Amino acid sequence: MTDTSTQTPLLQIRDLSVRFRTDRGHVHAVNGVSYDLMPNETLCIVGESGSGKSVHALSILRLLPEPPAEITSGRIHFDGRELLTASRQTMFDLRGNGIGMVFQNPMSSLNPVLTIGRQITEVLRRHMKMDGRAAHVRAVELLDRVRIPDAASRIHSYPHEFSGGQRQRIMIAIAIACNPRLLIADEATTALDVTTQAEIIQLVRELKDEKSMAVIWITHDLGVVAGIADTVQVMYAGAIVERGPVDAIFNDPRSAYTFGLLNSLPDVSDVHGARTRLRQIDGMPPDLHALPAGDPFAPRNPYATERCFLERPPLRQAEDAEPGHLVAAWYDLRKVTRREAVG
Amino acid sequence: MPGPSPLLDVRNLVKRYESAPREAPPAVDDVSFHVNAGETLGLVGESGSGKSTIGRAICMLSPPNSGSIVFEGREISRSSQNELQKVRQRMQIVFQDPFSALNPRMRVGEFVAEPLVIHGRYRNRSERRDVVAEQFRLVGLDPDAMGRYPHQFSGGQRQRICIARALILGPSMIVADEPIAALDVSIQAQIVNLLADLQERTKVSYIFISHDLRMVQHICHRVAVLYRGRIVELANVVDLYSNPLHPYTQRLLSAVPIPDPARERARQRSLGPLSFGNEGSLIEAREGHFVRLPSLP
Repeated sequence: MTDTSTQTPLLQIRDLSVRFRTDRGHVHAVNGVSYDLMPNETLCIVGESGSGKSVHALSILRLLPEPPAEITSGRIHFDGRELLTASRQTMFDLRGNGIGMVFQNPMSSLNPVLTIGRQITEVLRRHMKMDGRAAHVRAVELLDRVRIPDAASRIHSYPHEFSGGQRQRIMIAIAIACNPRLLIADEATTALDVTTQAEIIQLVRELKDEKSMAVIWITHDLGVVAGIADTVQVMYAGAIVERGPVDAIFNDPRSAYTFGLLNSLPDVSDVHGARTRLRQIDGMPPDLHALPAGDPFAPRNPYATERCFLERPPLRQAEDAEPGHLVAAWYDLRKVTRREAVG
Repeated sequence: MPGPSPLLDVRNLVKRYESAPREAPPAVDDVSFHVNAGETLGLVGESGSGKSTIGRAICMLSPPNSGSIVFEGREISRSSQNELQKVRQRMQIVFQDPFSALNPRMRVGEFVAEPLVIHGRYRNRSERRDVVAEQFRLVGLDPDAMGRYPHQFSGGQRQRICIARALILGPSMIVADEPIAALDVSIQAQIVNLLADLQERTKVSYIFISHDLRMVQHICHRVAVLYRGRIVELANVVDLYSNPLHPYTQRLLSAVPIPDPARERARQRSLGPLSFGNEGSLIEAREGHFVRLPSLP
């Protein structure tokens, strides 16, 4: 892990709120999200559909269609620039140079009628001002770096001529082409086979060190998080419910939601095939049209107190926890689970 | 094989898609396995391994080119439509996507009741209503919701509705094709628990098709690993996960991420561009543990 005490954050998000206009009123997708991301840090954002994890990432890139989306409050400061008030041109440059992106479905991000060489060189020519020859040489290097076999000849192929895993490697090659300081990957390995996923994760780890990039990795898979995160941020109903160093989150979770998610996973160390019941989280994610006044997880939380239903808990330093381990909870999870273990 | 005959016995199943090039190997190539009553068999493998094709072939949604499928003592792969109707009362399939499986204009109660109507059971309306209400309770849904439409339900609830329909005729087997893949993490455990509870109550057998190797380990009794249309390993779940014999199984299991940071950091993965032969024959390496001997280079 990097020493973060003396550095300035690469990305600072303050009080970001995003809503969408729909027929049924407003969907409150992101509700007051604030955090810092340090240079070279790998931040994993965990959450399920409707948690706001993807919407918040798209707002950093200003890729949300406005309307129906509307950023109602907040500041996003990246590498010395304020993004929410930036011009279209600044954002355009930044998406090429400063921030690379990889999404779940590479086929919808790649242009099917252009060779992949053309798609990579275009980025290099436009953002790095390279001439055609230099861009071609660099594109082959990039494909080679992301381990596309026989890169010099495959550069003339079209997206459909590659496997799903290779297409995602190509997307990564494009994302890192201009040496961004931040790579955002949104469920980038979710559609891939497990062995391909492991290879892509290994590749991103290597690239992160090579290029000194920060990474925001958005996923619902806690196994993937355990393998790559420095910091984990758990989101629910558009807000951060817990955030902290990866070991603290897995070994000493303080939010009942994080605790519930970790507990609901099958125990893989149990090789005896005990087939015990999984400890499921009951209920359903909340309706983002009408968020409750209190903690949105309270209706599903067996440890919820009266206050949880009335007042939204702020995100603050957890008691007797590592510095930077934050939780939004009125209850003290350690006390209630200890009581449970005893009783 | 000694003992009672299995509920389902699949022998030498071959499925070739007509759209595939002539020289391509079949999507499912000489696959044999059985499923006992009350048992869950996992079919795992990566995309293109043929696991879903097997599921669809067994249900005769996409009949095989050759091979035999003996279900409850009857050869079903050459059945007439009439005979298949009977088979479908005993064998059902649940799909990955509970959003497209439901008819958006049909009340969910009618959707669950439809098999009863098709097969002429409980012709009396109020009797049928009671059966459906009971089914709703069984899968953890409020019977008061029977009159609602699919869009009024979440993904997890819709999958419960699909399971209720699959179970309403009292089948002995359910083919579950990636039943939790489209659901949120916090909902997946609910559905897996529901499937386990239903098995305990009704002794239904499952073929659980999934790419989620952690969940397969949790829910299945035996597991078959598929690679390019063929079974490369088949064993009791404990043997398979603690002592995988085929290099492909080893590679697959070593790729599964473990939700434990300390263990993930200490892990050595055997990755890299690897390809395995799937020729050779399946041999019984230990009792009930079958592995296809990799062909020598």
